[in-house]
Amino acid sequence: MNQVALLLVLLVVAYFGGALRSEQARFGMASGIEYVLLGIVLGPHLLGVLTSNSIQGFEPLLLMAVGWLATALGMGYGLFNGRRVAWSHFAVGSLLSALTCGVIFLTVAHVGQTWGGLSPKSSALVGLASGAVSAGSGHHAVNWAMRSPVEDSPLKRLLSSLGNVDDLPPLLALSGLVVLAPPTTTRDWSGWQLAIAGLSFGTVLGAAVAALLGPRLRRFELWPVLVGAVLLVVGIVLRLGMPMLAPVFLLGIVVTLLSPHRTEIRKLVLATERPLLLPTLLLAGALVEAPHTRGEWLVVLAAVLARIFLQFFSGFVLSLVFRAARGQGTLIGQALLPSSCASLAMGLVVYLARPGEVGRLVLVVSVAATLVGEVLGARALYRLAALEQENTEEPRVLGESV
Amino acid sequence: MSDKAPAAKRPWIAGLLQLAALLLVTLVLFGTARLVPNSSSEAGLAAALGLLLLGGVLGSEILEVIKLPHLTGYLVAGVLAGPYVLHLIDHETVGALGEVNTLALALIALAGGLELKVSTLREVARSLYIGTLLHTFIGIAVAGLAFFLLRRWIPFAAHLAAPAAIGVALLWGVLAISRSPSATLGILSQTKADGPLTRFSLAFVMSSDIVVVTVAAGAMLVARPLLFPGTEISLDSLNHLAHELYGSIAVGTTLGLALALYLRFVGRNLIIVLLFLGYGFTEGVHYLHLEPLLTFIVAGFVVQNLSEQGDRLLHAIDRTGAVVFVVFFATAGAHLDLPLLAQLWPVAVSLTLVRAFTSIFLQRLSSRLADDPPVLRKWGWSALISQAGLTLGLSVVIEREFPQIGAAFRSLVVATVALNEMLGPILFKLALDRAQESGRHGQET
Repeated sequence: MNQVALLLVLLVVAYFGGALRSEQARFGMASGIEYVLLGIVLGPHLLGVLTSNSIQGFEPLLLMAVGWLATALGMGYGLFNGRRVAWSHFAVGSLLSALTCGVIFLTVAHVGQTWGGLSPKSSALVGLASGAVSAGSGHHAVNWAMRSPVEDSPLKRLLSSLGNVDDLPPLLALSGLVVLAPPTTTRDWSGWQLAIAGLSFGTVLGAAVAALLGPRLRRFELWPVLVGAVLLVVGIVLRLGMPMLAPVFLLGIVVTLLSPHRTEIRKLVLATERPLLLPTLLLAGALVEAPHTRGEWLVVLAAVLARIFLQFFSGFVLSLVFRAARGQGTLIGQALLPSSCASLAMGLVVYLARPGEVGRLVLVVSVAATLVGEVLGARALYRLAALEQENTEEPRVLGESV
Repeated sequence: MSDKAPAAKRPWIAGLLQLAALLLVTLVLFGTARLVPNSSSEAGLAAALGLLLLGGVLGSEILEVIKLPHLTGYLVAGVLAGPYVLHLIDHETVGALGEVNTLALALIALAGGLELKVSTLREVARSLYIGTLLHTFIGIAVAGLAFFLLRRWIPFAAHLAAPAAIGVALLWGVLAISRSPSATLGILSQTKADGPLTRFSLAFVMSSDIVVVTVAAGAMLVARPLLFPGTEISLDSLNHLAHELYGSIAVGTTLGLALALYLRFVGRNLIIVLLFLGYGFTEGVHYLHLEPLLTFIVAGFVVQNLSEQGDRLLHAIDRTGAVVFVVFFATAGAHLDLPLLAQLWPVAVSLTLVRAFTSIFLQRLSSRLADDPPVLRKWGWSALISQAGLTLGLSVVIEREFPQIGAAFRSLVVATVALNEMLGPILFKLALDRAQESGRHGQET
């Protein structure tokens, strides 16, 4: 398929992505994993409709799209329905995410080195990136499954808040890749210096954008300024070999923290999320390559199993800490399994930034974790939604009988 | 929006903030370019797009203080960031950014057609008719003659035999009567102008597109035997030209009707639809050997005049164009071959001055003959100086059709377009301000 034809296919996918955004849409899955699967089927390793050459031409656009999506995620960070999430939700969500990331890192690194046939350095890189792509849960999935009739129950608020605060630890962990393996582009800078420089740059440019949009928001300037800032950060961090997602994510956070027009900006940016995400996922799917050896399969399996275990553990912790979750630890653990688009975006960025076995394996881990989460987790979310509905209807029924 | 923000009360604070942000961005990119001179194409492309967008908007804000149009800001940002000044963007990246031009030209043509209302055309029909005749015949002749007389100072034309020189002069003359729909629309969008000058400028510049595209195709037919002795004007070529023109009008009409129906019955995701048209439809039109600009102008014209969806589509183009046009003009700025301009400047300036004075004289004459109102007599020429994408696009076609003189010819075109591109928008905005038409859009029915 030539590049123009592929572009048109992507635009058609984006068109339907835009249509799915509407409230009337009742089909499709929260993470968009079905588009990844479509990409796998159409990709060079199965049907070959999408060839490696045609996909390669889209890599710059892919990186820009992922950068934009990370900014959109940053703009929704720590928010539920436009308000700051409760501090308790914020603290517990961040801690659990960091814990999940850390444990998966150690597990995968150990399995990779012991049974996976990976070198110590590759094991560490695959482990850290697998931890990052597996740590988050998906607020989209919660909103999707629990959309109706329970609009704003305490449990939905808890799960959605957790999904909105657990992206930062894995993104920061992803920045650790340059610390473990500094790029060769800038020999004078250590990995730590690069990571900190990247994060600082995102923060400073976010403040600059907020300042520029701050005093008088002119709509025709909003898009060029915002898109320009995101692309500039993406370009510079790629040029310096810095981690890409955390700086743009921070840019999004800082813009929404500092700009007086945060609600309007967030609304406009979030509207672009789905149309941009789905074509990106289609291309990401086409890049997925099955693990080459039994050892690599073991690495992927270890990451997925570790994630399942840790999400159930998180469910147990939540049932102990929050009243809204009491007595439903197992179900909540299962409901935490769906992951957000951040997981696939991180997998894709690692694939593009670390070509070879590291990128290849991490992309497979992110797809496998998302797929398993979607299959196992969605049912739990629907059951929770049904339980919540029963709980809210019960007093009304009793009242009527009295 | 917060009207009480301190910087809103004191615009100079906002200006200083913008200047500081621009300096910051430039310094960071400059430092990065020094630190990592050879970057991957992905990194270079993303950073270049980001810089041109941010630099273009901030530059336009800063220049607005001295009443210069936004377009000038975009162009200046591109020139400064480009390969000949700060070298923040290299040649390869500037070439890759050219992909945006396909979309930008489609949007410009579509918006151009949408601005052509039958009522406006009727209102200025007499001026338009006389002006088009004068500019097409006398304008081509004068610009061509100037080229012929100056040819001894033009490296690639100095040694041409007289017939060949006449052929090249004819092509030059045709390019000289091309205008810039994008610059016109950009200035009108910024100034929110309305009035007799605005309506005449829109109608003239947009309809001149159609005239120029048609005349250029004919001029290439005539120039071929002059440049290549032994070849003749064949009926096949005329047939091809007719096919191109009628085919473009037919496809454009169909597209316009389809767009009107889509807007009426579906009407969502317009930005994606525009991207689809800009890249996919343009490709299809090329495949059919039709003229994309003409096709999109006709489509826009049909939507505006045969449905009630014109304003809606124009609004969607404005939103998409907010990003695309900044990149388009900033890339045009980065494209400017400054060393070439330095080398050819005496000829380029002479040809630019001849074109400008011819346009002014002919437009004044046309206004007098058409008995135009005083504002048109005084300022009617102001939108006719700018040149940009259409002229460059035609020069690419000429380069392809006449490879012997094409590259050098195109360089001279780029040099003169550079001058017109910088000067034209400033003059047009000045005229709209002086004619007191700026900011009047929506005030009159």
